[in-house]
Amino acid sequence: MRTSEVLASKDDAVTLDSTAERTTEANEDAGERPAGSQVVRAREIHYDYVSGGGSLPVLNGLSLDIAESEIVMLTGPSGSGKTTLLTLIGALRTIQRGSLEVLGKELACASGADRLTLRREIGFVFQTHNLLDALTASQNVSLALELKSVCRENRDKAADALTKVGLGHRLGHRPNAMSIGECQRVSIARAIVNRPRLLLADEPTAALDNKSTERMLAMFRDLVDAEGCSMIAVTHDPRTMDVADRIIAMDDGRLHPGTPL
Amino acid sequence: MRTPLTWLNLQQHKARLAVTALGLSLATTLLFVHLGIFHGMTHNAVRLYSALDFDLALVSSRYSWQLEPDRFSVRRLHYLRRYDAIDSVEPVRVRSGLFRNIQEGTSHFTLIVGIDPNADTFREAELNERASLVRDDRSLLMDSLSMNVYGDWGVGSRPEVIGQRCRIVGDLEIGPGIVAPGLAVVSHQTYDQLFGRENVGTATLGLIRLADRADPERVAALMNADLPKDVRVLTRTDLEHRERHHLLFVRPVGVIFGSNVVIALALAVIVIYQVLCTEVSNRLREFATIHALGYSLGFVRGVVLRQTAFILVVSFIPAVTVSVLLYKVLEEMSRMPIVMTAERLLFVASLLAGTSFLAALAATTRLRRLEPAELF
Repeated sequence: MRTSEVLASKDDAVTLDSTAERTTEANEDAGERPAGSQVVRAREIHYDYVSGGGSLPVLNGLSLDIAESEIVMLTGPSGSGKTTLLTLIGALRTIQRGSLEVLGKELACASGADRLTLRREIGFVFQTHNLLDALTASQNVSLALELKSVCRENRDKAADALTKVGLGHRLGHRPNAMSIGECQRVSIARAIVNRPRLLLADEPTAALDNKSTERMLAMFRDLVDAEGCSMIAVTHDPRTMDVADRIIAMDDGRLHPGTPL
Repeated sequence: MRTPLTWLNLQQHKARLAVTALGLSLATTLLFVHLGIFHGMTHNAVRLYSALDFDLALVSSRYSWQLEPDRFSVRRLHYLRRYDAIDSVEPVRVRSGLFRNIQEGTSHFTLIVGIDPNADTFREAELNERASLVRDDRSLLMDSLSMNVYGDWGVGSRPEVIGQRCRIVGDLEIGPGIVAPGLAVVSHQTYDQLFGRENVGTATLGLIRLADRADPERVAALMNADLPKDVRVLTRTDLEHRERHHLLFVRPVGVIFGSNVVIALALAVIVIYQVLCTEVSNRLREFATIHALGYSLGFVRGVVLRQTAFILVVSFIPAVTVSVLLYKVLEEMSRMPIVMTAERLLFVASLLAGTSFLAALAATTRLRRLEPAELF
C-alpha cells in the first residue's frame, strides 16, 4: 500500500498544518517497509554551518529512512534544514557527524571520488535551473547522458526526455531564448534522462504554471512507478503534495515532532 | 559525438572573446616589444667588440666601459708577444668626439675608433679591406648604419671632427653602439692628430689573437699573473659581459629599459592572469553544475585549459605578427638589431602558457573550494 493513500485523499487542501498531521500518519506506516529496500538511511545526522568564529547548527541529530519507489516531499519553514539535508543526500556536501547511507553507500567516510560516482546515479533538479548558457536544450540534456556513454543515440534520448517534459519543439533553443519555466523543464529532463535511481529536486515546480506542474508531477509518478526510482523534493508548493507517498515536515534541523523514522 | 563544450563556451560570447583576445594580444605585444628593444640594446652594447677580431683583450685595470676605457701603454701589449700561445696583438683606440656636418650645421657625438689600416683588425675581410682606405691623414670611414643625425654625408664630403676638417673616404657597416648614434674609423695617425699627441704610444683596447688550440681562459689567467696591476687581460666573454652589465646596471638608460622589461613582464603576466581568471570566474557556476552532475574536476579543468589554450593561440598569433612589424619599424628608427628570435618566441609562449596554466589552476581551485551544494 502506498503511503500517500493512507495519508489523505486528493481533494484535501494541503497546508503546513495538515502536512504535519499527514507526516505523522505516514511515518506510522514506515515500519511496513521491507528491510534493505531503503535508498536513504540517515542516522543522527548533525550539520553546522561554520562562518567567521561561530557555527550555526542546521541539522540536529536527524534520522530518516526513504524507501525504493517512494516520493517524499520535504517541507517546513525556511532555515529548517531541508535543502541541507537534500545536498547531503545528494553527496554534494560532506557529512560532519552521523551516518548517511545513500543507494547502499555510506557517505560518512566516502572519498571525493566515491561521492562523485554516487552523484552519477542521482538526478538533480536545482532550484535555479543551472543550465549551461552556451548549450541548447538538447545539448544540456546530452551532457548528462555523456556521463554514462558517448553514442549516437544520445541525441534521440535527449529529444525523448525533452518531449516528455513538453519541450520537443525547443530542442535547439538556448536557455536565454526560453522562459524560466521552460528552463526548469529542461533541467528536469536533464535530471531524468539517465533514469536515475534517486531523484533530488529543490522546488521543482516553483517556476511552472498549473498545466506544466500537472504534467511534471504525472511524469515523476510514472518514473517512480515504472523505473523503481525514488524521489525526494523540497517544496512549498501545495500542488505537489498529491503525488507524494510521504510528506516530511522539518523544523529546526529535525523532523517535525512525532515523526518516527 | 561528445558535446563540444569548450568550443560552444568560446563561441557563445564572440564579442567578449574578441576583447579578451585583444587584451592578451596587446599585453603580449608589449612584452615582445620590450624584450626586442632590450635584446637590441644588449646586442648594441658589444656591437663594436663583436666586429673586432680578438680572443683576449688587454684593458686598463681602470677600464669601466667602452666610453671610459682609460689608456694604457702599448708596451704592455707588445710584452705579451713573448707568449707562445699568442699569434698576434693589435692596439685599438676608442673615444667619442664631436662630428659636425658643416653644410648642414649639425653636430653630434660619434664613436671614433683608431686602428692600424695595414692590420686585420676586424673579423670580416670586407671590413679590413675598407679599413685599409684610411691610410691618409684625416681620412675616415663612416658607418653607414649610423643613425640619421649626421646630416647628408657621402664619400668625399668633409665634415669637421673635433674641430678638424677630415675627409670621408668610404663607408663600412658595423652599427652604432649604445654610446653614440654613429661610428667612424680612422688610422692611429689621424687619431693622434684629433685627440692630441699625448695619446701616442697608448691604447684603450689591446686585441690579442691566440694560436690554434690555446685555451683563452687559461692563457688569460697566466697573463694576469704575469702582467703589472695597471692592466688586465679579459676573455671575449668577460669583456662582453662587463659591457652588458655596465649598460644594464650602471647606465641610466639601461636601468630604465631593464626596469621596463620587468614591468612589462609583470604587467603581461597580471593582465593574462586576470583576463583568464575573469573568463573562468564568469563560468564558475556552470562548471560547478557540471561537477555536481558527476563530472570530475579533471574534466572541468580540461575544459578550462582547452578554453585558455584556445584564447592564448588566437591572441598569440596576431601578437607575434604585430610585434614582427613593429620590430622592423623600430629597427629602422633606432638602427638597433631588433629581430624576432626562436628563443624569444619560445620564452614568451612558455611564459604565457605557464601563466595561463596557473590561472586555470587557480580558477579550478576556487571551484574545488566551492561546494557544489551552493547550487541548491
